[in-house]
Amino acid sequence: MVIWWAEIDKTGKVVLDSKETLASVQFFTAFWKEAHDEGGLAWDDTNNNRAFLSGEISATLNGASIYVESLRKPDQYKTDKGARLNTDILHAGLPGGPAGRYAYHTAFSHMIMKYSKNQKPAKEFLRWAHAKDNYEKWFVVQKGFAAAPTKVWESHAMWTQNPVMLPFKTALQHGRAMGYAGEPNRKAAEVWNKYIITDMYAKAVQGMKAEETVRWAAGELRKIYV
Amino acid sequence: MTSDALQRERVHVSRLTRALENEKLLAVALLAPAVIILVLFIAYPFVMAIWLSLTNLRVGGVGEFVGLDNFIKAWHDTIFRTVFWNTFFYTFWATVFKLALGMWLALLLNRHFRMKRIIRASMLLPFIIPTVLSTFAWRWMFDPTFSVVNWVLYHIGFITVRLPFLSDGDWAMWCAILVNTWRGVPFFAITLLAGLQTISPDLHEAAALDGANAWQRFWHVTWPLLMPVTLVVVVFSVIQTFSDFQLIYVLTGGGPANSTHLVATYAYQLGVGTGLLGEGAAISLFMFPVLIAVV
Repeated sequence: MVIWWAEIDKTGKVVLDSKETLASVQFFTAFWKEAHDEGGLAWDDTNNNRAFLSGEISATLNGASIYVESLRKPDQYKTDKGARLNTDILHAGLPGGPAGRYAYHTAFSHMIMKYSKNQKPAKEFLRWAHAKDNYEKWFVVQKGFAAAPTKVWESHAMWTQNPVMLPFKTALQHGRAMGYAGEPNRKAAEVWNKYIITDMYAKAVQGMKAEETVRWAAGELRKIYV
Repeated sequence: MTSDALQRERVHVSRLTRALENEKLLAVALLAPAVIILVLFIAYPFVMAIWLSLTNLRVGGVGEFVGLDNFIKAWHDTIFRTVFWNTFFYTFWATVFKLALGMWLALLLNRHFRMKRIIRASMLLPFIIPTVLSTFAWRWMFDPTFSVVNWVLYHIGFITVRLPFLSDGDWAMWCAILVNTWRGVPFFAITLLAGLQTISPDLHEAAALDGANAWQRFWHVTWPLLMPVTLVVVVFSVIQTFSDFQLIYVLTGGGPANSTHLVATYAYQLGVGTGLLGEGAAISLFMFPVLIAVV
């Protein structure tokens, strides 16, 4: 449900209240009314999985977890014609907008606490886990659920196993971190955790004027990016 | 045992006994466990929260003293204002419903009927089940896609489109109030029932002889005599409802678009979710003056 425009410019200035954002909110409001499940505003992270697997919806923004679940229990999930659901699922990257293709992919990073007394073994462990041979074992059993983090992994033989997972091979090329085009820092995380961008769209869907929701969200962002 | 040792023990016992016979010492000894628990789990966290609210402490950082900045920031935060208003709205209506239904239930249960004890005991069930568990059940019933309520209403032909239990802001708030009321009514009913049983039937009889009807007997006899108990129950309930967390956290998580966020859930979201411990503490402390005023 993310339509990505720049929130912040490279210098950390809030640029959310632009005519492009306004257009995206207006587009999204219409898109919501025409194509989305009206209960979606109450969804948590698992609702779309359940709705898709039960045949209530036919498209959703998600990682491969729905497909993986349908592979795991092939006889439980069926299409309306009785075929196995996993034979009727395809993945695709988010479509592009006027300014290009953007997506947010959940990124995981490993960190070691400064106060840790075991910094050296922790670093060694991370080095070991990320050594090509060890990382590869993990990468292969993920079967594409973990997208290729660098170009090198895009050419791995694992991607030839299942064409349904192929879009994840290059998915991260369009990935942007929180707070784009600014830094993905603490302030960007605060915006994310307060659901300000999500609520900007949610308020518009619930009937608030697009101009007002954009102004509201930009105002909230400015309080964070002081 | 040598006679020396016996002697020593006798002296020891009598010293302890003598010490405990001193009322002041006994009082200290008896109060100590409660005081220790209060200091450890109530006073220390409370003082800590006040200190945190005056700093800009974040997870993984060292906080600096910033005075009242966090409180000022919260007050200018539009989400916080919504949250503050939500908390009042939620507390007010939940308490009104709990009082009205609790009183009604107490009056019903105060009559004689078969299996009185079992019914009185079973009525406490919503109050006994852990909130998280029962709220999960409600959440399933209000599920945006698989709501059993919608399913039933649809199949008996009452509705053609799903009701937006948790996906519309107003509906979600009333659903939260409904669940809170469902959970809280037994507490009201049982406490009021205990109060009702202390009212002498003679008073009702006398009033009836004087020609008072059922409503007049309730309004002029039961209600005034029940007032002290009612006040205590209402104050307890307001405190718990105003600082409610689990129910909202499980049922809606504060959504959609902050329309059911309460002070406690928002403080958690900011303090723990976002890692702004100082700001989260300041927001939770906004509850304090309100609750002091209630008490």
